[in-house]
Amino acid sequence: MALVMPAMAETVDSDLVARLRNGDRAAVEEAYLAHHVAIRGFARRLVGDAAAAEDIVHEAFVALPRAIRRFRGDSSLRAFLIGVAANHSRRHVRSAMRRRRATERLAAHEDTQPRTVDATDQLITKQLARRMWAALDELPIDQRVVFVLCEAEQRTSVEVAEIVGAPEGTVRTRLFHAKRKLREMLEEQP
Amino acid sequence: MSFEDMLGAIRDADGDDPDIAAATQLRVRRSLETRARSRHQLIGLLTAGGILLGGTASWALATGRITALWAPAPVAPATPAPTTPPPAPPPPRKMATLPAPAPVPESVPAPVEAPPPREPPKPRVVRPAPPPVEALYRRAHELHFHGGAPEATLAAWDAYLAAEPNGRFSVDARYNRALVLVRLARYAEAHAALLPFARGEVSPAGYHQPEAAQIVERLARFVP
Repeated sequence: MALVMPAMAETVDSDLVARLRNGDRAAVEEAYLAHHVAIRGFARRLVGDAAAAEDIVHEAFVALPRAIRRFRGDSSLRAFLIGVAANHSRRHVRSAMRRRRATERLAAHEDTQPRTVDATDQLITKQLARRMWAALDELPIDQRVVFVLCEAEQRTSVEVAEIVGAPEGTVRTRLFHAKRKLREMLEEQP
Repeated sequence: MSFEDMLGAIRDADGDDPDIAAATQLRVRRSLETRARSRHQLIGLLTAGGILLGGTASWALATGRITALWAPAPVAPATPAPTTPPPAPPPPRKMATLPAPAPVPESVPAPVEAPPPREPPKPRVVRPAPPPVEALYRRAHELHFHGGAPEATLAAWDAYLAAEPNGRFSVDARYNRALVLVRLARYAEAHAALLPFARGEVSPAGYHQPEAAQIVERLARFVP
């Protein structure tokens, strides 16, 4: 079964890619159904803002019929779509950052008083994530994308290199600088 | 709190959200439809423009006016600037005057009904004010459970506990205060405050013990 699955996935991908290249709108919907969870997950981890993440997902799929011309089949369609989403994320990262800074003071007030253990747990997770995204806001977008793909999504540098379209060495360098800066920033905080 | 904790927190953000996913799918569909429609409109406009251009060219060729189309536009001879003096300004308009307002007839006052006779004032029921300590508890409780700012809620619990450290509601107040500390991300203080609850060292015994134990376990990693 494990041997059959990747081959099947490739066949499905190649059929879908062929239809996307022919401008079939139904193929975009199929691609959406197959990959939206992964794209949304990446977008949310990258920007830390649900609305901005949704805008990235939307733009990535709307851009797909045109972007697919660049797809050479070296990676999976999902990896290619994540790359498209990353390319469209720059503007949304900035808007999410501005929104986060504007609401920083209000954020603690927006949280409701946790009444259960689960709610307390969720609150703590939210607070920790908020700190990480605030630190990510200080990184250049290329380093931020690589950090999220490598560390938050736990992808290999080879895979990330395919997604971002950069040499593997560049990916490693970006990751190294991103981690160093983040550690410096976060360890300074109380 | 460690770097790994924060990284773990952003890992928790996932993309599985069926309602939002359905809304975005619809948005993508509409955007693609609009784009296709715009493209068709553009193709239609270009086709119409092409036909018009072709038709004009054919007509010009057939009527022999093709040369007129390409001929440079005739240049008008330069004429001297008019030397006539500028027209005199128009005579000042007479200001329209409004007729004097007609005298307002004195209004006839409407007959006013006599007010109903006043009922004799009822004797006020004076409710006894709650004792100050109880009022402090009520205020903290209100802020805690009805969306008060965490700093204000903490101050209210502190005010109550300062007034009544071993009162009827002090155990409840201590527990709630610890939860507010979590909300303020003061994890080490929250951990210390919840520890007696987690160990069952408060009276009544076992008060919120299981929940406190779980929260203490979660907070332990943030305690230096």
